[in-house]
Amino acid sequence: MSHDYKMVQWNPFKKRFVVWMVSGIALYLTSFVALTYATQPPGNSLTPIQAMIRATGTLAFLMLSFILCIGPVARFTHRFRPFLYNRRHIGVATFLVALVHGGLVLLWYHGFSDTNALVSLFISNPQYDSISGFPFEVLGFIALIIMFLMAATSHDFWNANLGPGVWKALHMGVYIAYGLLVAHIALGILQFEKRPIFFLILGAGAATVVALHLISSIASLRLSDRIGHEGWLRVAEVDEIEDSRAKIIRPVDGDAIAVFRDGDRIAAVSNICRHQGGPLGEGKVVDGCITCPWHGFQYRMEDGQSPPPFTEKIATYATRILDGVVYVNPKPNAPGTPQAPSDIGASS
Amino acid sequence: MSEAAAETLVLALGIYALIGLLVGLIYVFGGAGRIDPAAKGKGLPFRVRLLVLPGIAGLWPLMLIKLFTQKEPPVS
Repeated sequence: MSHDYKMVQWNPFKKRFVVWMVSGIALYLTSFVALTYATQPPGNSLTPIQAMIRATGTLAFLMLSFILCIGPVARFTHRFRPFLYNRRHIGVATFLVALVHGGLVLLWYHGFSDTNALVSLFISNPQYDSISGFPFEVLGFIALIIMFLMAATSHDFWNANLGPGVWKALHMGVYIAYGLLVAHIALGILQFEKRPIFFLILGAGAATVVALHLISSIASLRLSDRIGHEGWLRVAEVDEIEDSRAKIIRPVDGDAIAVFRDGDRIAAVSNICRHQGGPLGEGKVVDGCITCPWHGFQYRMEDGQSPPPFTEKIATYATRILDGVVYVNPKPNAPGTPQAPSDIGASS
Repeated sequence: MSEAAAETLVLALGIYALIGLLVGLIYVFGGAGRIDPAAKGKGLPFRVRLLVLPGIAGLWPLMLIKLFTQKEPPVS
């Protein structure tokens, strides 16, 4: 919503979050290297660089797994919202950790010959026609390129210049990168490292991501399976909607709808923030305005317009309350259309 | 992959990145304000221009298309 671009929209919480994140990264890397040396089988002699390659590789995978878990978990608990608000920082940090991993691999395994290091990366394992022997390094390289594009386009400038649709489509590439990383690990270190820790990291990370997305999808399907009332969708009983919070409804056709309660007022708007497509229904009402959980973009409850001087608009929906149950008309009004909120007091 | 194919691929990546860097420099120090009013002058500080430069270098074909085809200001 700012009229000029800033490097980072810092606030005290965000600063503390980044300090904790960087400390955690440093702690993981040093602990991993120390444990690698302490538990090394007799006869093995990993160099510090090799140990760091493994430490950064596992950390990048775990961080990306965590990032992919943030969205589904935040739908079920408010306690995960701080991570949701700072997902962009974790994403950039993940790319930097992965970049260090890639750089060390190029240096250690491909940097000491006359052949260009990148050329060496592509030709050192020529089994492109094999499944189990496929050159896993190439998969990691492609994943790193995707992660670079996402990290490099994480600033607000990109949402404005690419448009929310293109921006979001580009950042859905995280799932392709994650799949490539799973294959990169399965075809790479798991083929020659027999200690269970790497199998555990891959299995636990991937299984958690898949399970949480499945659970989240099933919960969404249940939400869309609502008994309508004259074409209106049942949202919830009034008391089930927490004050200043929302219930998200996903019609079979059309975009998800966020139905907010602010005191005695009930209003519905599009669940999609105009800024970066954030889930408005996971945000809250602050000073009468619906506030996006991602970056704090705000919209008035009564017309879906950002308060002046800002000009963003989202679709509004008609709501009504019958016998203590909130219903929403799934037909959206044009973005910014005034729609009087339903009054809980008037319906009782 | 043969060595010749790998060399060609790496060369192509290098050329793509080099063009991207040139397009990026032109874009952040001139073109950005043309399609994004918020990026004019002090609206896009020098440090932010450097920050978005790698992204433009990576997506330069898309940004060139935007530069030459976008008529309305983007969503801000």
